[in-house]
Amino acid sequence: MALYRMDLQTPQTFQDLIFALSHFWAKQGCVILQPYDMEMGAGTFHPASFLRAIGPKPWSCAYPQPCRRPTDGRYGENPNRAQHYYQFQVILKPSPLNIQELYLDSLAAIGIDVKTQDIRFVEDNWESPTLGAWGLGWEVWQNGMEVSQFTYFQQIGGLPCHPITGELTYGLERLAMTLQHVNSLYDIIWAHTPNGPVTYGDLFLHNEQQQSTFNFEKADTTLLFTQFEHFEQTAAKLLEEQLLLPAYEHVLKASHTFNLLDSRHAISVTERQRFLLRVRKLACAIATAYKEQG
Amino acid sequence: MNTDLLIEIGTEELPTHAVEPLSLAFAQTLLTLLDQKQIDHQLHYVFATPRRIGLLIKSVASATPAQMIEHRGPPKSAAFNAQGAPTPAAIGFAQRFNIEVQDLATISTEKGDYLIYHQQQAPLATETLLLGLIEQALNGLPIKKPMSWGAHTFKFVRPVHWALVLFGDKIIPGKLFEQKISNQTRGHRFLHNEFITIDKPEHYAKRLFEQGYVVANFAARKNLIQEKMTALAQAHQLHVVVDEDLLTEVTCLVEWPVALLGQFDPRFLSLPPEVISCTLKQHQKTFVLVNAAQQLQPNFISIANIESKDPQQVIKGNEKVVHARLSDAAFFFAQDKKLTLEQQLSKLAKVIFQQNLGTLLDKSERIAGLMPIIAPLLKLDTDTMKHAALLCKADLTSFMVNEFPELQGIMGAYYAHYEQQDALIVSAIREHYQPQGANDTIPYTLSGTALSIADKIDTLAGIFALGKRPSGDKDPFALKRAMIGILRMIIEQQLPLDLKKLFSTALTLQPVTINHDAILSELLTFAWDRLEALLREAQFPPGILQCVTATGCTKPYDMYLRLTALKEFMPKIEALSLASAHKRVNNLLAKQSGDLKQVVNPNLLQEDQEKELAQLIHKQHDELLRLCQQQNYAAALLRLAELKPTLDAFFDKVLVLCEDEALKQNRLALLRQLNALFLIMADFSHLPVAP
Repeated sequence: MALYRMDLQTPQTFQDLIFALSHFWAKQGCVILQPYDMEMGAGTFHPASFLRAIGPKPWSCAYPQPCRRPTDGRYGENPNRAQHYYQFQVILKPSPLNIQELYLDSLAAIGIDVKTQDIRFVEDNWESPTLGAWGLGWEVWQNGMEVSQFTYFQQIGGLPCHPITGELTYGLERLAMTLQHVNSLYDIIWAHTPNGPVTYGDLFLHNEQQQSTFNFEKADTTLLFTQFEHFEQTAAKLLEEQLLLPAYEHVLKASHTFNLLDSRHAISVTERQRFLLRVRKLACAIATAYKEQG
Repeated sequence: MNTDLLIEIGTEELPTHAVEPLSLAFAQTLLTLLDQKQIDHQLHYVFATPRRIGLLIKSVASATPAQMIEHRGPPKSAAFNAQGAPTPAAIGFAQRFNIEVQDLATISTEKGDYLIYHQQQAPLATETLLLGLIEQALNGLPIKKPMSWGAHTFKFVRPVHWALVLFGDKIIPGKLFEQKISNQTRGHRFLHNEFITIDKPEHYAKRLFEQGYVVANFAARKNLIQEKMTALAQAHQLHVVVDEDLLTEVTCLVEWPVALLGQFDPRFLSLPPEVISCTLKQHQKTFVLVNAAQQLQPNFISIANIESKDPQQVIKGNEKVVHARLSDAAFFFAQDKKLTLEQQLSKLAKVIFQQNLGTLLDKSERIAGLMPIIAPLLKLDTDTMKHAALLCKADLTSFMVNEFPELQGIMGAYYAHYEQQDALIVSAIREHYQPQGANDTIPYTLSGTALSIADKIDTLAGIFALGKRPSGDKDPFALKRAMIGILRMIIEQQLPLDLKKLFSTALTLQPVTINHDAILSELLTFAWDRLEALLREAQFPPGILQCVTATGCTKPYDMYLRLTALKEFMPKIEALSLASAHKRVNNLLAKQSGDLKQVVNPNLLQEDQEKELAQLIHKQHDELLRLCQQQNYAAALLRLAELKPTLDAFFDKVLVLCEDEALKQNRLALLRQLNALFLIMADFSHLPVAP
């Protein structure tokens, strides 16, 4: 039974938090990967999660992943919300029976004392219409704040999962804000350097302001619609040629293009469903082909 | 010998909606299975926490009773041949039980004599049956979304970590969900993360409470939470608002409840109280507090699942999240107020109400289109109500309703009030989604009632026009609820509205081509089915509704008044007389065809009884019309009751279908007049009275 021991010094900075989680999960036998170099709405879209969850092969990995959700942009004015933020993603396949204990140990490893904090597993079932995927699990609360998502994948790309993959997703900014006792994500200390502290705001405030302007005001919707079509057609063509990894990347591009169109309110409610289904259809077809390739 | 039985399945955190129902269902099923096996038992106690499904059954019999099982063999006629020697059929039957044919008994039945064998069934030990029964009960649980985990192929509500089955002091050997059964439970995930051995089933809840920091009993935990909140609130001269659903949900989230008082910035109190309650309840699952004057206070109580080493940290954490949530709400409220409801309408034009039925703006315009036939009858100003109709859906595109869909209507009312709309419009918008269910109250104001009726009439007309009327249990648009709502509002508020006229107009406003009359009649049939159900609940005799639908009356309140009078009238002797007379009239008239004579020729009236009837019909006709127009149906029925002796005498003495064709036609015309007279009030032939 887990001890929830605090065996590492509390991470003082954002980068320490990433180091601590990477270190913890490396010790649990995870491959520590680096972020995928494309825009995506969540760490689940990384092929190391989405594709590796398909089929029978065991697989454990962990990685930080920058996420982009254009509609969540607030021009850098909201202390909690941004269109670009970080998740730390852990994939354990098959999900070990002690997965919750491991997760709680990882909280101890980043300095969260579970005998002081009120930690709760509150039901929250995950579903991604674009990926044809769903799972059951919880959002994890620390004193009423959601700090992680915890999911047992049941279906990926329209395919039932066996064995089951367990997915842990840490909201890094939220955890860092609590650990560093700051009220705005822009006040998070990313690193201490000889030239003084570098904050999250130093690194990303301009980015938030400019990207929000682009997402909400400047993105060329006509061009985006054309791009969406293009990405969709390319993905379908690559799929035919069994080039599944490039095909999947084009699904990611189509998905992000759709998100941009959404943030420009360029898609009506009824059309929205149709667009989602187009992405989903491709994701499911790639998943099926990936499973067949083995 | 009887002993107590304890079963506990330890799981990862269960969904809140599953905690209590699954434990109850497990207990129910297992008890039924024990009963089927005739295993005697006494009281039972159900335990339900986020991490355990538990059951204690007192005094369970150690074995099933001994049983005699009767096996029936071949008929005696086929069991022995002419010489009286056993046939292969008889020998085969005896061999099944390893005995000789002569040891079999005979039974006499209606179909003849049969060979039988009484087999003594030895008692079965309960402990050998238990595992199978428990598995059966677990497999039959009503799990909404079963899940798999790890590499297992079985499914359950959440992964299972331990299984405890203790029968007296004996552990039932075996595995459940791959977990070896033991007599060990576990304590609270953080406060006592260890095994606890249970030596006797009856000690279970006590051990968990004293050692494990777990209140296993659901009701006890719920009470405890309520007590703790009340005490904490009182200590600060406050009162906690106990929302029953929230209390249940919170009980499903904790094993060791600790109540903590937090506060938020009083400036948020300028938000509508519904917004604060919704934010705290839905997002944070915390309770709001009021002062003695029932005013919302800048405090909340959250129920933690831990006796924290430093409760201040838990409180501060919760306060921070509440602050962020309320800031969001305040931001939404401010954003929403930047646009007037009228300005929001352009956004409604982009939201589809239903495919082929246009946008929400189209729907709002249709609702407005119904106001000329509703508002005047409710003594409301038509233009004001048309404006209310146009604005009533505008809040659906607001940030706030987007965040809290259940605040629809309520937010619209706040925004309407903020921009100083007419008070009638504010109340109409606020109340127009009511009643939401069978037990929900109907709108309090007439303007709310008018708008609610119009909105629902339009939805019903539109969905029926698309051919998507409810079938069987499927009612995705909640049309039954809408129709019941309309009927309740019209009847309870005593409104002179005519459903036929409302639906007919609403259908002409729909943007689809339809067979108007066919769908109108479908809608009315649907309405009467719902009305029938409402009447049954109100103790009206079944079938009585037909008495008034047959008159062609389609005003629900008027129908209700007629039915109430009829219900009062039914026990009277005259009721039976009118009912049988009306049935005879219908039977006689139904057989006639060809050119039907409508006018009675007084010169052809021969018998005294028919003369008298003709006079009485003539005398009563105008009076009855007058009484019915006044909706004085009790008086109308008294008047009709006066017909009894005349009617009885008429049918006693006068032969309607007589030889003389002219006389016959005249008498039939008289009956047509009588039928018309009856139908001013009701169709008595459907009156559910028995002779």
